[in-house]
Amino acid sequence: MDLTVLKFIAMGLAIGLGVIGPGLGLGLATKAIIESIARQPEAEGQISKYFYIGAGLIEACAIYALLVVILIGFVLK
Amino acid sequence: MEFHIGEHWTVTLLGMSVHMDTLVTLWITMAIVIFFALLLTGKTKLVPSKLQATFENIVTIFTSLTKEMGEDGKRHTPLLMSLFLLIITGNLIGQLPWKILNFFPFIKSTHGEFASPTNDINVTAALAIIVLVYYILSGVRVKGLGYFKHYFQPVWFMTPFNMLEDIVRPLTLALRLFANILAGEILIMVMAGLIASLVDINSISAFCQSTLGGILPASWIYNITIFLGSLLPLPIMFFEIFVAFIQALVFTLLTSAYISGAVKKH
Repeated sequence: MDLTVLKFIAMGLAIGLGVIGPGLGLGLATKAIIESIARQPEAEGQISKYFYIGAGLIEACAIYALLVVILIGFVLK
Repeated sequence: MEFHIGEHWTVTLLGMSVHMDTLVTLWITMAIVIFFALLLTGKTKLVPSKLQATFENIVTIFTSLTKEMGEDGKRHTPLLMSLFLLIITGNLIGQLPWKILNFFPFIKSTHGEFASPTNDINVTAALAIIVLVYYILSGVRVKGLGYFKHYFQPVWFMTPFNMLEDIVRPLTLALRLFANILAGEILIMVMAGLIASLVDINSISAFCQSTLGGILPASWIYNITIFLGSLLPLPIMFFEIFVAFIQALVFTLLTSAYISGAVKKH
């Protein structure tokens, strides 16, 4: 197979497999925050503060996958 | 559609290659932060103005962040606050329309473009190394040489893993900030060029002749399509403002967690 084709396949696989974990994690975090807000609506401000920080940390994992995709596609020859 | 990712306007100074675009935007960031710092510390009033009240609130937030670091935790507030202000100003500065500068032929001829200074790994790595040195030194200041005992806990053969921690922490700090900002800029770039790369004038004119029956000129349809396509990155830009804030906050909070882990007594 051509090397370029292999490169495209690798890029697609890297981002596709890489976002599975962060997707699951973000879903679990959202589930948890909705449950806890439904239980204690008055604490929404404090809870959502921690949620945003956690979401930023989780999102960074997906961004690492994107970084690998950029490395495969545009930097490594 | 062509991509230029990670290209910088490189200048050789004293045998070192310098990324001029990063340097210039970092200077602008520093100028903004220092300007506000001088403006607000020059004449503080007992009854604060709106601007002073805003910044007093920011200082209060960072002072409360250092409360669990022991009795002299307030010592760490300046580092945390200057990190936060520098990173958030640097992230937000990338959302300014720097592309206007491309009208100048001198800047157009250089590689790279002006964007956030934090989209350069060198800047974020430097910030992360500052954090690493700072938390080790503040641990040594509180506990003396006894700080290094934590490498041998809980048992002696955990030493390599404890040392690995000091490598992984600055690495992830630097990579997280850098990759988030760079990914946002790539996303905006892709969105901005998406419609223009898919549409061409020949197929639009064929569509106008066959489907619309030639009631509208093809150039109108083409221009309207390009204009609507150029609005595509707008929601991403709003999201990037949010990401800029969150990433600055995450960097600062992790720094404060590392410092309080280093100075806390067992």
